[in-house]
Amino acid sequence: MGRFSISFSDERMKILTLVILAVICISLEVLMHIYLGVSIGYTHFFYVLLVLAAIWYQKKAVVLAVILAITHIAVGYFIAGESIWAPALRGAMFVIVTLLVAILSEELEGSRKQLVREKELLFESEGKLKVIFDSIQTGIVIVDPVTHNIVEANPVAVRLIGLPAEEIVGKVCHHFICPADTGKCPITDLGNEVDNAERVLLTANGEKVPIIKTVTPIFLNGRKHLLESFMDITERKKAELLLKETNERYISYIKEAAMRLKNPVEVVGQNIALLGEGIMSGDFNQEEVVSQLKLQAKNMEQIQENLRDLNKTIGDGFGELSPASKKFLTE
Amino acid sequence: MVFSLKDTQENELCLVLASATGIRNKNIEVIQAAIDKDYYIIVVTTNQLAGILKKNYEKHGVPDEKIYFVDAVTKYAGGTTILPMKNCRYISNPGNLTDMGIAIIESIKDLEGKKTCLLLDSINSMLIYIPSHNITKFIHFITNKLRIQNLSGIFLMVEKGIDPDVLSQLTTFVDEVIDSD
Repeated sequence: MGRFSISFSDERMKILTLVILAVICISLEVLMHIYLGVSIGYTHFFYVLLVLAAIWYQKKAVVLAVILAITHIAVGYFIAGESIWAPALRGAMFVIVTLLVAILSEELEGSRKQLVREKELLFESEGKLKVIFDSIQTGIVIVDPVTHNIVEANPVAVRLIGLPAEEIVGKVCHHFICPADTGKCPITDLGNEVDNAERVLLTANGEKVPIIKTVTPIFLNGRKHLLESFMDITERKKAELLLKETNERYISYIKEAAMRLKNPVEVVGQNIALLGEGIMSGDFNQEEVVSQLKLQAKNMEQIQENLRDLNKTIGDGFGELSPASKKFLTE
Repeated sequence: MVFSLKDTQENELCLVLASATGIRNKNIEVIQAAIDKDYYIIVVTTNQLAGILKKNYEKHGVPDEKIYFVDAVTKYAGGTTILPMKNCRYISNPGNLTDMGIAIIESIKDLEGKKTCLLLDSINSMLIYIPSHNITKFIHFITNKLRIQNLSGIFLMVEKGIDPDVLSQLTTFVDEVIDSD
């Protein structure tokens, strides 16, 4: 069949075939019609030539049909002396059959070309999707919703997981992108939606990478699949943690400042007030007054030192403070 | 309100919360209540000089035979010329918790076999010299020592001067919190 198709697809072979068939037809016309006086039967062979010509050259074959029809009518009417109607009817059939086959052939050719065009577009579309799939900076994994096996993983997913693609494909998705237990898949078993949800990716070396993940059901090759797309948010998480630590540091600073500055100042104030009362009432001698004043002076020095310590602690924790600002806070 | 130890059990550890203005009087009330229950008292002072406290007790008629001091501020204030008192251990710096701990343990040893109560006056004044997390650790250490030796302990503090988180931690070390105001 293949060889047949190849030989007949060759243009020269087609023409040669048609020429041979045309010679046979003319020979039959001469032999059967002129010499033997038989005007019917042999003309069925003409259809082989005409059908093939109509299939290969569509409406152009009608010209050949008209020539054969005129030849047949002329031979019958002028040479064999027959009535004109019978050969005219046969000639008309040559033209009609050829035209019908030509129209059908054109339709088939149109459909074939349409199919080829659609196939090309499909290939082109698949190619574009493949390029996007391979070059997008998001991890994409396609999962079979029945078996939960990974069907395909793009290069970013492969890089994040840290295994060659062939070692990822075919594995159950729970091993890498969704540490849920078997039978507790949030999508297929629990009916949840995963849309921009924070999850953990398990890498080949056992690390847990924070990701933001979206799962979308899609149809691929006529079957339902799960398209899982995810982004590594390690840096974002680090920034969030840093911000949290910064906030905690600020809160600790404020609390410690309140306890070690505001409260001690009140204590010193109370002590000085009581000392004043004691002096007025004559409870303390000079030495006791001096000692107590010295203590409160030392306390005030210590409170100032506490302020420097706290500023230093907070200043050391922040890279964005200029050296001048740090100096101002700590000296 | 006059402080009373009658509702508290022996060998109990209490955190006594007072107002900023009333904390000095609270010290005297606690001492008086403890003396009334035949306690020997170790007063750890980080706020007032021991000599001043002693004078104050005498003024309020509190007998001082059963009162022992751990004074963390007299030497610190430069009071080297003051004559050392009987039953008083001096620490050179109130921020030195090691020395304070040793002085407390030695005082406890001095009173071994006697019904003893430790009074710490006050947690707020300690905050002048020591960060809050170190105070928490120190109070934990002292309460453990007191529990092991079946001794009582009273820790004075001004409630409003302490962060609620720190206060919450301190309350876990004692048996009772008494808000005296």
